[in-house]
Amino acid sequence: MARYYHAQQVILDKCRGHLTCLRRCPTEAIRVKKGKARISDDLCIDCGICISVCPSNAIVPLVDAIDGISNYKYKVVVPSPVLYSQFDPQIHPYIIHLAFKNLGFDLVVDEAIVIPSLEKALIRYIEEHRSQLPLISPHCPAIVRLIQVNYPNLTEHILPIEVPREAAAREIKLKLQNEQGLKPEEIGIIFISPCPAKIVSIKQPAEKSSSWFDSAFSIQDVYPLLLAQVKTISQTFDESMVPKDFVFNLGWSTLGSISRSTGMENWLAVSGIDHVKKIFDDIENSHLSNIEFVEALSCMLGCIGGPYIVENPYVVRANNKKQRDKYTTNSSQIPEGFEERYKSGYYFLQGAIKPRPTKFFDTDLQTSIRKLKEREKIYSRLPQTDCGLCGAPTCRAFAEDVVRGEADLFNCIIFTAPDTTDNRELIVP
Amino acid sequence: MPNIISLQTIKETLNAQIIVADSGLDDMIEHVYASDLMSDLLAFGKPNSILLTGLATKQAVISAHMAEFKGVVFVRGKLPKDNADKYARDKKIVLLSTQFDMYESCVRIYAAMSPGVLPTSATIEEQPPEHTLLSQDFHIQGRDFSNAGNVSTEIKEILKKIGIDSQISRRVAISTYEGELNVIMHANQGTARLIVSPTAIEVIIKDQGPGIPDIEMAMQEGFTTASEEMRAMGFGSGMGLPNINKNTDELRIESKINDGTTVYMKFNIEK
Repeated sequence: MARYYHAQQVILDKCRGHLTCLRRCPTEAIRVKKGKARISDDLCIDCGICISVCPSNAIVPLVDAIDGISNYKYKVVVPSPVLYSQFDPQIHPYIIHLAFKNLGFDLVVDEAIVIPSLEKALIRYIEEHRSQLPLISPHCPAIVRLIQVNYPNLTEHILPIEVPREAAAREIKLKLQNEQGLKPEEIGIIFISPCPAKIVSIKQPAEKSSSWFDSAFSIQDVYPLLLAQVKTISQTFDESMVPKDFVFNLGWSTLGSISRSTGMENWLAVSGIDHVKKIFDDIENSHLSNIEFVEALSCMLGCIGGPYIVENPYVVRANNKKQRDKYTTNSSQIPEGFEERYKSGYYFLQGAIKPRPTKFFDTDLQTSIRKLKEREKIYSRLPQTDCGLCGAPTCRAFAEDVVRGEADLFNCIIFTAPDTTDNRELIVP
Repeated sequence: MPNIISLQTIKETLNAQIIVADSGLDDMIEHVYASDLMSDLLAFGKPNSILLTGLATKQAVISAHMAEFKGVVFVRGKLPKDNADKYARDKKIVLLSTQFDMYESCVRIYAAMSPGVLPTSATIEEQPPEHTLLSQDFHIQGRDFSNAGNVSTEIKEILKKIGIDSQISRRVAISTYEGELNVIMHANQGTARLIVSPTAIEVIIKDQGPGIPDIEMAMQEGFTTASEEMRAMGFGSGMGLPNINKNTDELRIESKINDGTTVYMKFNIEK
């Protein structure tokens, strides 16, 4: 079994070797061999870009089957706030709750229930740890994995406050056990995810042995089921049906929302992995020490741009804004016992996020440096056009694969073409 | 091998059959490379060499051409396959074929290149490992704020690839970044040299800038000569040199007014 779980797989029959994923993967985790894409377990950070860009739809989410929920006596669903924004803002969010109940869920819980206390804990932690600034939000699991793989030093900068989805799942699991006497194995808590990264974070959390969730589905899979229900319910729905204790808060799903709702001053919000990498390079160079909090999200625009969303992300953003204005319930009340809970570590991640072993050449420095030089020498003789036809994303990555013995030099078209010079001129202007 | 010999001598030494030699056998050969592994050839081969190989394919000839070799000798009587000879003719590469095997071919050429000095034993003198394992230079362009940090990031990538501890890499990156910024802020241009040895990493940043009048003062936290504009961009807070000092195991600064500054930084690699 592979060391790291991932929430996508390449359907080899469908893969036509377009090289699109190869070029777009931010950690150069993909190689195309014999016309088929392969994803490296060690380097993949589950950002889901490959799923979104594949022209053949050959990279598919690896998600649990929805009928699996029938195994649980009591079924709870925690939808990502992004789910609501897939629907027209005219549709009251409570209708979505009712639709889930029609689908067989016993309870619908929103991340909103934990957001005020988590935000308070977050502010408190930043105030108490001013020597470690800037602190980076742990909300996006792809970013957490990017840090583990590419920025091992920055693991210490990850803010160790629990994320809303996990906190909500724990809250509800403990409550059901205490108040309704259910056994842990009788309760099934299911997350509805906008991205593969959050599903992976549930199957294999970065910091602890298991998640509070029992399963996770993608928004894509759930949406058509909900849509049919929503249409029926809307016909007879009126707002008086919304219970008094209904809370609604679209939470941390859009870029900058944590920073804005906590009223922080020195924050920075960045989305899209390439942009995030630039900011992380700056943090590593200690250039951004005047920033307290960095909200870094892998998807453009934040979770509303996740690979599993149904609508166009800009439409989702517009919906999201309207829904925030229209339905957000005033939930500034901090639960009693915040102080005790904070001190007992209740709001904290349940383990440390550690770096993943990086892929260096050799444990012996001299050998490593020899291989590095070899790579540069081979690279200097390659066309340096990053055409991708060898199956590696760049000529430098290819040179490195050759040095590691993972690729054959003659996979490069320049070396196998009938006339090297002429072909080189075709490729290199 | 002190001497160079002609292709003609090699042909005679190896009793070789000529397959392609349109351009004659007068070229002089400085090195011999014996291998079937073409990636090594590209990485280590030197121009004006001849390749001895048992790989009688066109790939061998293409590799020899890419590595700027003069010719290829196929050992054990092998003859070229898949139009390798046509390719060699086009590229003016000499192709020979000898009945000798790789080992004997090597020994014979060695003897021909160093008359009277046939080695008494087959062991090659082991070279002592050089103290410097890696030395690489990077250019820093003055006033180019948009690329500030590129050199530091590049050096960090190299250190990561060769397996340097990430804490040390980070200290190198921070110090290099500050040094890089000083060049960008104050000088027209400069260079950073990265030197890796088994016990330490050194970064030497040199510029042709205005020089530092009072190094002791420059080492104080908050002291800055950066302009308002630079500070508006978030640079020049007067923490540069103090920050370097904090992150290095050894720091030396040499500076001459109107001539330039050299910042020498050393980071020990813990064993």
